[in-house]
Amino acid sequence: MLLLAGWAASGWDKTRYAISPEPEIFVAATPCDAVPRHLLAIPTNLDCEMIKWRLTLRRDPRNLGRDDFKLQYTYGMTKPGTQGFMNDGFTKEISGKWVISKNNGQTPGKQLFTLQPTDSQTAITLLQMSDRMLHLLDTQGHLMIGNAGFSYTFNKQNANL
Amino acid sequence: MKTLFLLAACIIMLQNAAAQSVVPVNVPSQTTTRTPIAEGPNVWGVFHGRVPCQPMAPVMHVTVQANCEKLKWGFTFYQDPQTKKPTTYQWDGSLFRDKPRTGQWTLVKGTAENPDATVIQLDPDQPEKSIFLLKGDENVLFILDGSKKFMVGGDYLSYTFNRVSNRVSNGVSNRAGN
Repeated sequence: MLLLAGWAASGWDKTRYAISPEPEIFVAATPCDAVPRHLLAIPTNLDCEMIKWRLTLRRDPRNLGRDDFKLQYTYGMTKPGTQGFMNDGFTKEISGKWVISKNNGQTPGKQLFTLQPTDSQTAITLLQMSDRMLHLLDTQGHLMIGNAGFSYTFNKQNANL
Repeated sequence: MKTLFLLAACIIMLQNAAAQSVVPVNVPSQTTTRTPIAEGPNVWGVFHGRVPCQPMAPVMHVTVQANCEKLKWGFTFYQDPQTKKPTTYQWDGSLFRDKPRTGQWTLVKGTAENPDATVIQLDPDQPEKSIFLLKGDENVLFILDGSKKFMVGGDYLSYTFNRVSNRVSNGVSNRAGN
């Protein structure tokens, strides 16, 4: 009892010590157009028609404003008859901090998620269409336009389970 | 000689400035269909995409084979050339290889999450077979389910449709609708 009283008096802050929530993971298969090549520093002269993205967003309630992300991506030419790449493609990973801001644009969407990679000045911005869906924006803030095969929509992993 | 050197330096500086101001283009891609897509004042737009097959079937009130993985579709939306108001649509591709689905379309307001969103409704005169697509902007559409909620894809396919064109645009200023 004394122990409990001392623990309460010590200023135990349940929120402060709360365990970080599970990271959210979004996945996508997009075209390999000029904009994502620019964002991900993919050489313009490299044969590339698809990028597979796996974006992990982590929120750290103990350190407000220090939320981090990890983006794993694979790019290259598609392997016919499969959902994969010729010769497994090229796989890379970037990480950094991400911030949420208000969507002031005309495009319907909840909030903007801006990823700022640690080793790059080029930010990556996604529009939160719903809790389970994001869409990549171009450097002017427009929705990225995909093609007949692939779009720039990011889907929450296992959203339909 | 000195003038030539200055001239060369100026050219290099201008080239560097141009390279730094280059903005990657985000414009509709060129159609991959064998025949040109519809265009002209009576066409609002043509949108292509691929969606997961099994989850889409109940939304369309159809049955599909167990091995159906994806549906490749194209939507052509026609408009009144004078008023620009929606008129008819044509839906081509999977499930409609023999005969495209056609009907009327209109614009309505509101999804399950956003009362202000602009939504395309196919067959408003036959609500039991209506399909809804959220108009993200002039170039990107998202299929909604019967409750007007977003449908969520996976790591390979989504429920998004993208404007396509008969020719490759060459600059940001050519963005449709801008």
